[in-house]
Parts: sequence; C-alpha cells; structure tokens
Amino acid sequence: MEILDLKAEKRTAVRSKAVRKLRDCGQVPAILYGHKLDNVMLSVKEDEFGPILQSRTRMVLLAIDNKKESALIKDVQYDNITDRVLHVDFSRINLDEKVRIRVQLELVGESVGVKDGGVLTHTMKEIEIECLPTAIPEKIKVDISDLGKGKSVHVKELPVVEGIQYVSDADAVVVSVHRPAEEKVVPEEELMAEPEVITRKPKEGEEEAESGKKA
Amino acid sequence: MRLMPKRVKFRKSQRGKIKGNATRCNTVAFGEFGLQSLEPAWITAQQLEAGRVAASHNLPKEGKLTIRVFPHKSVSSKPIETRMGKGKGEPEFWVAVVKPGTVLYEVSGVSEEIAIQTFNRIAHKMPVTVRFVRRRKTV
Repeated sequence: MEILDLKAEKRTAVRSKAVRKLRDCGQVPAILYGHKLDNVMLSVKEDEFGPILQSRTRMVLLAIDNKKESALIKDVQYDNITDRVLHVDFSRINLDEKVRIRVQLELVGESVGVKDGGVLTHTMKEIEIECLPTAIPEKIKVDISDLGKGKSVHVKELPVVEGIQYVSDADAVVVSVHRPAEEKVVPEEELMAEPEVITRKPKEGEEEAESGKKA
Repeated sequence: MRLMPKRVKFRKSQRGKIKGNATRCNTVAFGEFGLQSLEPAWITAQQLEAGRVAASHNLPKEGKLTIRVFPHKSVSSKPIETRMGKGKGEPEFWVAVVKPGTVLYEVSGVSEEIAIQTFNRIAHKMPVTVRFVRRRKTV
C-alpha cells in the first residue's frame, strides 16, 4: 500500500466552538496517538486530506513541525448529511510491527445459486485482519462463482493471502445463497386488528370472566 | 402488510416536536445503497408501504430491500362534525418520526443503476425530499 505525505499542524483549538471555527477555515481537526506516547492534537487541510481519503490508502507520513511520523488512518468521522469530514484519528505505527485493521471484502463472479433463482446475502462486508502496515490490502476478493443454493462461505474458507492473518471468528458467515422468502399472506382480521395495549387494566366484568376461565 | 406495532404501552401519544438531525440510523448499514431523508417529517405506514410496493415492482428477484424506519407513533383524530372537548380522538393511523439524515430504505444485491431507478420510484411516494446515498467504505 502506498504511503502518502500529509502536512499537519499542532492545534490549540480544543472546545467545540473553536474547532467549528477551524473547520470553517478549511481545516480538519485530528489526533495522533499510540505507542504509549502523548496524544498530539493536530489539524490537517481539508483539500489535502480529501484526495488521500479518495486514494483508499490507509497509511500516511505525517509532517508535523519538520518531524515526520508514519501513521495509520484509524477512524474518520463524517457529517452524514453534508458528507464533510469532521475529525480524523491517526495511530502511530512501526513499519516492522503488525497492525490490526478492518478491510473490505469484495465478491467476484456470479454465483451458480443466484442463476438458479437464489438470493445472495452478503453478511460480512468487512473483515478484521492482522498484517504488517506495508502489506495492508485495499480489499480482499472472494470468488463466489461456485456458490450454490443453500451454501455459504465462511471466514475459514477465505483465500489465503501471504502475510495476512484473519482475526475474525473462523466460523462466521461471509456470504450465503438461500431460497427467496415467500411473502406471508396475513389474514384480513389480523390486518385490521388494533395493537395490544400492555398497560390496559381489565374492566370489572372482564376480570371476573378471566378468573372464571382460570378456575 | 399493514405496518404498526403488535403491542404498545399506550394507544395514544402526544404530538411532540422534531428537533435537530438524525444521530442514529443515518448511515447505510445493511445494503449497498440507501435513500436518505433531508427533511423532518412524519411518514405514514401507508406511504412506507407504497414505497415498498413501488420498489418491489422495479427490483429484480436477487435484489433485497430493507425498510429502516417503523411507524411506532399513533396519530389520533376526531370525527368530522364533532364538537370540541370530550377527550382525545381515536387513533387513525401510524407514523414513523423521521429526522433529517435518517436512512429510510436500503437496497442490496443490485447494480447502482437499478438502485437509482428503484429509489427514484420510492422518492415519488415520500412526503420528504430525499437523496441517494452509497455505503461508506472502510475509513
């Protein structure tokens, strides 16, 4: 995976009002942590960080005050309405040390089961792996062309990639093909029924009738 | 299928106000594509069902539609030509309370082109302005 350079500045703006002002100036607040060193609050330029995010790289070489530090993009917070990046978490890494990271799983090919009228359910869209920072793959491809109806692919059946270890549960289902569910026909009486009120106190007549039933 | 709760604690509820943006249910979680509301609104069970039917007519067999909202709130009304007073009216219909940013529907197992077509059909049934959103990739 490519390591891209990113300029960052130390920031003093901490509180939400100050951080909001920072965002208005085209900066993204960030933090750098890890390796039992002190946390460093940073800010990066939005127009410099955007292309890095687009390139799908996970590793950056942060330039902070003439000092360079390699870091992993650990988390990105978004505004889900404007799609603007709100905050970035960088984690310090050592290039010789293994890291745990979530990677996208991509399905390749058309399943035999789907051709027969089955429905494909892609349960696990990301998987946690352990590998060296330099060996982080962009995505892991899963071939599903032989997947028949009623069959599934588990984590233990995923392709073996050199230098990568799957951390997720080995028996967890990644993708499965099943029969399409038939639509239940609900009787009309049930459709018109009112919801049951759980706090309703039974009236006097009803109470007697209920106790009579129990006896 | 009529959308309403099976069991409720109280039959009638106060109207309430819709404040702020959605802080949950605001990302695509189950499918690859979603339809996001950009306005606050009450979406009735009938409108949600109309959206589901419109989508099912367009989706191929392998496509899967998920409705992310549920009408939990009852709306009551008084019969016409009734004098005021004499207590709150009877529940008439059920609504889902939607804030800006809420993902209403999700689709998986189809191409982006078909997903856009499907959501376009659903959008015509919705009482709010909506937008098409994709699932956000890792980091």
